Amino acid sequence: MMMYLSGSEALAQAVKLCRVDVMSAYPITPNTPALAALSDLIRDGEMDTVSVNAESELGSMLICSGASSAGARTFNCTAAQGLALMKEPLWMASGMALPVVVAVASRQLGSPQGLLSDFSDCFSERDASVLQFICENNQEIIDSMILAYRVSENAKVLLPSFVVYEGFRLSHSHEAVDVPDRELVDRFLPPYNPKHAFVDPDYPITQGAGAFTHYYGLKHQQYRAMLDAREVILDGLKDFEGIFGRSYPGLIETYKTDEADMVLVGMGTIVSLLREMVDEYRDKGIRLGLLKIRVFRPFPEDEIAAALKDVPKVLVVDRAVSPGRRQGISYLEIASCLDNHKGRLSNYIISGNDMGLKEVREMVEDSLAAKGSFLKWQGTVFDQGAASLTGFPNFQALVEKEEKNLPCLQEGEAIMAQGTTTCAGCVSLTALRLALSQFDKDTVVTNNAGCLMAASAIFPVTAFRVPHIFYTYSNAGAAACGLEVALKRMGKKMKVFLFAGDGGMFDIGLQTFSAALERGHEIVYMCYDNEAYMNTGVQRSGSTPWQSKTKTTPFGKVQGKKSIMKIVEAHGNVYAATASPAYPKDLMRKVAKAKEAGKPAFLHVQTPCPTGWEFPDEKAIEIARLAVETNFFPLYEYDSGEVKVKKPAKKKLKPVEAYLKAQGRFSHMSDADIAEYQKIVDKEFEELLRREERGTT
Amino acid sequence: MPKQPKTLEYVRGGSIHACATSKALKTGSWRVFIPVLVEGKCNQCKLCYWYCPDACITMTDEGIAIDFDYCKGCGICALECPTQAIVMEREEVS
Repeated sequence: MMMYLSGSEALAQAVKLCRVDVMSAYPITPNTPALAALSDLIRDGEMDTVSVNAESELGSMLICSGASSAGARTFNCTAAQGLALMKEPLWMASGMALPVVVAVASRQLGSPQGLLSDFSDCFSERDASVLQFICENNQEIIDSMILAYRVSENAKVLLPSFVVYEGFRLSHSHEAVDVPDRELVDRFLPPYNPKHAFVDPDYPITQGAGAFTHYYGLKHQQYRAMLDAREVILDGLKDFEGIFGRSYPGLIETYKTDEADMVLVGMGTIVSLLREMVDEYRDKGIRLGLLKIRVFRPFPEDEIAAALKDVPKVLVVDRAVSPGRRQGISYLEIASCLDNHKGRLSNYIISGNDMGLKEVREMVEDSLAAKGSFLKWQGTVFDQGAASLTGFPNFQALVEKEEKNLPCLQEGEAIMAQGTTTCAGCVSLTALRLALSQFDKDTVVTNNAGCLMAASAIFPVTAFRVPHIFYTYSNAGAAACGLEVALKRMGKKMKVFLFAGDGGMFDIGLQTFSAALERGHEIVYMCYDNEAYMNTGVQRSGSTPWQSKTKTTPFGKVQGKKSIMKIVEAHGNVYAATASPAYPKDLMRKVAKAKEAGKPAFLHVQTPCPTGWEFPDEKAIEIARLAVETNFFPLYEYDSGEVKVKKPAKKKLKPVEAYLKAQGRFSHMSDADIAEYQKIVDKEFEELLRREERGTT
Repeated sequence: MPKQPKTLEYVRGGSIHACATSKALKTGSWRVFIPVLVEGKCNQCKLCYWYCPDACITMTDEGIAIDFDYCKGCGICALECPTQAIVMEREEVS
């Protein structure tokens, strides 16, 4: 059936058609629309895949591995840092012959955190024994998914696959897509019935055992399986044409390469533009041809060697590079397939740049005019306006004359300047500004990835007037420890302040955060808890409360909210407090106390989000206040065993219904559910009061 | 300021050797509704100063001043003002 689908929606249709048993993913732009589309299909009963919303990519890949070890068909979807974080379980999966299919919404691997696609994420896993199908368009996303399962699960292969689709260029772009009938897919893709790795009490096998001297043989099997995969792919494509009526020539596609004077080589979406160039130049009498690489692993060595054998000029358009080698990655791969590449193979490196026909035409003109081979980076490398904004001249003055031209934080100035690009009505930003008001110039600010990072320091500009360092999602807790010990060692009396959202603290960053608390580093942590992954577009987190709708819980969250305070308190000798932007004086007092605590200090600030919680912008503070006045989010302090609760005055105490009804995310709740919520809130508040009465624990 | 070379590059590692340059981003252009002060009503309680996410309010001798270069028009100040000294109006675009 023809449908008008984004790449993300096409991917979701493919997961449905492939009858995936278990999927697990973690939100990272640009995989998020796919997660939302999949969650909607599950909610609407269109597919019965079990979906586990993981706490990190490390977790998501291991959930897939565990499910695959049990004999289930599994699916994961990620990008960039997410793929990097799952490197270890990915190598485990290929080593254990687990045919997990991972859709990679390709995005630049940081630092710096880029958003465009340059294959630096998937190519980094070139040697992981994972098949890589690179998609040119949304049709290929569906077709490659169906093919990937069939090839990965083939007994000759038994390796994971990547289905790589470029972030934004495909994930967020709509095209007409032929979605195949379910019966046809069932004919093409038999159920997964593994004989090598599964769980059965009547046939107990061991999986993933360590192998020391035998690593060699097991690695050789992976090596062989990857080479054998070529034939399995070709067999699959033959059947594919017979069943679906769409044909793919093989691991590569050639277009007008016969007797071509110059052949353009590319992967992914750029191929569509290169194909247009071939037609345009052929009309002018210039014999251009095209070679598209559809499968990057296993690499189509023989096909490429044959296709480029007699071509006088070849232009390889590359996105990813391997620093330390001059040419781009696909150039190097292609050159190694050819007997005589010198003098006829040229290389354009376009990184993640979005290319139009104009830019592609310039490349072709350049290449036609060139005598012999050349290597070029496309476009302008250094944006002069941006370089100036980043203070490059200040850096030069420092290097050349030891001059320090940066103005320090002045009396009366805020640590964070204006021009921060959060949504209107973002009281996470209010909370951060209030907290920072208690610090002075001898402060270093650091943070996990999240909304406030994206709003406050995006190259070339920064909002900060004190030293600020951004680390990614899982690791800021540990990096802050490194900062703290190094500053002490270097005799710099500075405070370390870390801010992170609930995703960064409750979920993916919990390990490094907990370790930092346990080791007793003097760091002030502030969690701005907007109760979901807001920066990636509202996905469920460990902090999302019961019944709250998000893009990955479109039916309302089934589980309750994790108590980060209790986890922090369990570390013992710490100061921890809840706070709300609706009570600024209370918040600032607690931050001041945290700053002077002389031990790890944590502030848990609930920050209503107009975008994710679905209420008008101006009500953010009102809702924060309601959370406190209904005991949904009680204000209290914990100081090395002592609990002190700020009880709302009786006349101000409101039913939790008032809080729930003010927000769209709870709009689906029945009266019975609301009554149940009241009971939960009452019970938790009573428990808190009992802990206060008990005194030192 | 030191003499600028002809071609600037970036500092290695993407370090930004500047402060508060986010001020180049005038987020006030996003605004649909604009806060308008009602004369004689402000009691200088500072609530709007603390609540404003975008740090657009400064305390003055007479009351408050609003920085429209950055005000996104969220309306928190108007809703939270205990003396109704701020009202939101649809902004006319010239």
